[in-house]
Amino acid sequence: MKRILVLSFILMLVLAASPCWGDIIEPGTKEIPLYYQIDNIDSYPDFFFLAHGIPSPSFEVLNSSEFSFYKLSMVYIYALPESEFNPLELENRDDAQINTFFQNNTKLIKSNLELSGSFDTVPEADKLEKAVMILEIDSLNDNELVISKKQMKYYFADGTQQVIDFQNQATIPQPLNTPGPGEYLFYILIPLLALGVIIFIIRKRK
Amino acid sequence: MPNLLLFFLTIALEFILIQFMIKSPLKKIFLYIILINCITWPLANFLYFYFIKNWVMVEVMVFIGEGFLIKQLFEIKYPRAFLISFILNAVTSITGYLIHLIDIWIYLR
Repeated sequence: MKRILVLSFILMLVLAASPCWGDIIEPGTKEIPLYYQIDNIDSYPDFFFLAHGIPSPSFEVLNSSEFSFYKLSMVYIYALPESEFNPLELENRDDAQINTFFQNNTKLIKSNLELSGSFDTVPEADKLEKAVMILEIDSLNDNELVISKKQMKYYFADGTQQVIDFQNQATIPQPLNTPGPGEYLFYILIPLLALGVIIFIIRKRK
Repeated sequence: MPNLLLFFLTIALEFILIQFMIKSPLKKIFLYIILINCITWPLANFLYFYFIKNWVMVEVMVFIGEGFLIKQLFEIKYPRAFLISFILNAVTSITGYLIHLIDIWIYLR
């Protein structure tokens, strides 16, 4: 019996130390979709901006609206002079031809930033519903497209929003998630009351 | 706020299971199971929600916490208390996981 307990405990610790759920959502959690939006895309009317990733999207013409993609995709943004590109042509090609287009087209200007499709998983009861990363084009010329992360916008189930600026490019600023007064009552007061009753029962026995 | 239905389901499951492991009046068992879960369930959700975003780690903490509480309330030895706690929490965890899978299946249908 002791062996079973020890083995079970070790197994639980191993699972706890390396929670690897891959494409599966951990029980009791929900996945927060991550959207992107390029803040100043309208300042470059002479360019088309395209999102291309593996395995998807094969390509997407970007505008000032939010865009998203499959959570496990690796996506880059590309710019192409308006005179060099007709979106309709690309729409009629299959995935292999589109991949070749993105690999071989010398006019394409690839961004410095690799985008990921998932923000995070949070407990199901979390009020957070959506995250939007606001990007900004810092510079664009014939050779390079430099994009930086400007802000995170968080949308909550109660209709509120939080906008938080990036302090450094490597770290995504997290939403401020604090329990409300009613939640404190449930999470802290009820356990304290129950503990009080248990202490009373144990002392009464003695 | 977490789903309170799961709270009552946890109490019901643990109440049914523990009767097979501990001989004690039903009213007493019911009261103790409610008291134990009134401590561990809200605290586990609080920890998971705001601090430890790791379901398995929180389950381990609940298993340890309930082990101590079962020992004190039912006046049994530690090894037996932890074995009972392990069984109760394993069953409720697996049940919770199955409910989660059923939720996904209904959503995908």
